[in-house]
Amino acid sequence: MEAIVKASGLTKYYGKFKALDGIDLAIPAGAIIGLIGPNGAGKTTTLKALLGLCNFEGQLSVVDRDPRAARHKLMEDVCFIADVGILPKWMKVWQALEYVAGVHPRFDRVKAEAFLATTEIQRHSRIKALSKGMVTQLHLALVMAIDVRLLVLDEPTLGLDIIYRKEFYDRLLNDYYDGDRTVIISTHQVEEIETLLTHLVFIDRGRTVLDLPMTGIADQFVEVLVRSEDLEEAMKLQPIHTRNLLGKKACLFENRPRSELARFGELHTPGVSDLFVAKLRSQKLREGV
Amino acid sequence: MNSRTFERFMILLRRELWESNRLFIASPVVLAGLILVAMLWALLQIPEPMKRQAIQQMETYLQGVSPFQVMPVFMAPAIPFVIVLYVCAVIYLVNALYHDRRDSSILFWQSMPVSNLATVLSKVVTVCFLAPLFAALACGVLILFSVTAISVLAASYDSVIAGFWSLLGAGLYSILLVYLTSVLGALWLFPTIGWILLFSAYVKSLPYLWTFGAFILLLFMEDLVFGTQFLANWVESRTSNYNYIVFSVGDFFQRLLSYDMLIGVAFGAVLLVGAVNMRRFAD
Amino acid sequence: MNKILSVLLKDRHRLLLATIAAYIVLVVIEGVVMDRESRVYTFENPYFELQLNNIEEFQSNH
Repeated sequence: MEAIVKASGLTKYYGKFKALDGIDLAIPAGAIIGLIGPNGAGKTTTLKALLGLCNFEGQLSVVDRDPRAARHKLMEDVCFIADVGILPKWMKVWQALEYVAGVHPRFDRVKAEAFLATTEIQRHSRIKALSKGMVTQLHLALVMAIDVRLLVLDEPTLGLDIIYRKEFYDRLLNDYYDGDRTVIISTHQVEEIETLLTHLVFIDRGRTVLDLPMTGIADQFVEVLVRSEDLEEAMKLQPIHTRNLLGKKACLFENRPRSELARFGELHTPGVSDLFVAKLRSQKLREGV
Repeated sequence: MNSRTFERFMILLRRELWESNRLFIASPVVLAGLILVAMLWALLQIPEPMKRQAIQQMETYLQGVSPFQVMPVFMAPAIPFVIVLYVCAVIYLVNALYHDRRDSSILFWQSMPVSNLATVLSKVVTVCFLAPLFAALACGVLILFSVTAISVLAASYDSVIAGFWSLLGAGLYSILLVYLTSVLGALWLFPTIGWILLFSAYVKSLPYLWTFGAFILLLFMEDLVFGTQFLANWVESRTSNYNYIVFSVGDFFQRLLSYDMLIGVAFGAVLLVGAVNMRRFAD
Repeated sequence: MNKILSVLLKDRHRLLLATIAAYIVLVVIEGVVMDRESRVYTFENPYFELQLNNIEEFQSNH
């Protein structure tokens, strides 16, 4: 598969603070990538670099362009929702439609209007007067009507209640994603998007910690509920993470054949959030932080 | 420039007017409304003999003179409009590249395929060409009202002031001249526009203080360090010594194409290049 | 040339200073070429006779 985003050694300083410390990424076209990391890990900075919104060092190509060169050209193929509520507050809904229709060559106004018709948003409302959830709906209506190759969502559902959050991802998956488009979603709420991802990227303190397809999780990681009598032996195989579960120890192993572990107990593939915690902890232990 | 680029630029201009309609449309309209009320009130209050006398004086004044030569009288109501326009223009420019960074809506604007150059140019065109248009039109209402009032009064006193149509023509022409004068004024102050936009794109807080404080500081520094006052001189040559009120379209082009005008626009453009590039650091 | 540009465009502060410097240089060069002399203004105070250069005299008089 052709990579739509290729990054190597992305580095970015804010003053003395190293926000990005050599991020490497290769995102295949047609993927839905979860960019997952704790707060302050460099998620937003990475996305800003991809979108040409900040300077950085290193190699980067997005949709075969260098984002630093011409942001406005890049934006014909890439769209993003940065956070809730970044639509200009003074604007009215009809003005937002008119504006995007005027400046974006790939905007399908009929589609956006149809989406808006399913919501309670009034054409003459000012964005200031809309609720947070409605602003996100409006933003999604605008963005989903734009036919781009890459959609970037940075914490898109932050601060929204559960109904809006669920609807947001349902719409995205059912009405927007068609297998050709690529979607990057950054979040620290992993559970919410786990089921829709095709790829996972973990970043922590400006570095890529993990980068693999969802189908690769089962190949690389396995969690075993170890019987207490086998615990000592299991620990010799160096699980990257252990946690207590129902009076037993759940040990997470990386790159160990399943046949080798089956004797300790029941095997299963870890969930993304467990994997996330495990990966981050083990990384920190290795670096002695 | 193909038609697609032109259409896109027009929507950017509309965006500016949506955002700043209070500054550039509502304020001259309100001003015109207030002055109009005052004029009507005056018309009703002034006693009959005084009105008759005024019309007679005007008749003497206009004897053998074409209405086009009394243009300055019609252009007088433009003064308050130009003052309000300048105040609004400063407020607009200071916030033009600052406000969207403050409320982080810049992330939305930046997600659209619009270059920083186009964005900055749309602000410049708005302040130089669109805002004067609304000021001139609002002022035009007053001019047309005066023309009508004079004609009606003159007719009621059987006075033979120049005919209504030629007065109307003179009135309309002075609306055009008010517009051209304000455009010329904006272009004459082009370095100021560039300076304010540069700081508007730079500051993270206190935009007024930075914009004007930095300039005053610079004036003092030059005097203190070099003992010269090139900058103060430049400012002085930009703010005075220049009469940009025009009394004909020919005047307008002559002033527009003068060396002093063009060099000011060129130097202002240097500051605008800085402002355009500053948008890259909008985070 | 590209190198100079990349240094100037490194952050917003450098860009601001570079732009203002370029502007001032242009204003001064144009001023010199066009013979717009830099005039030193003398501060005239029409309200009372305080002059900074004879402030001692002023103090002794009042």
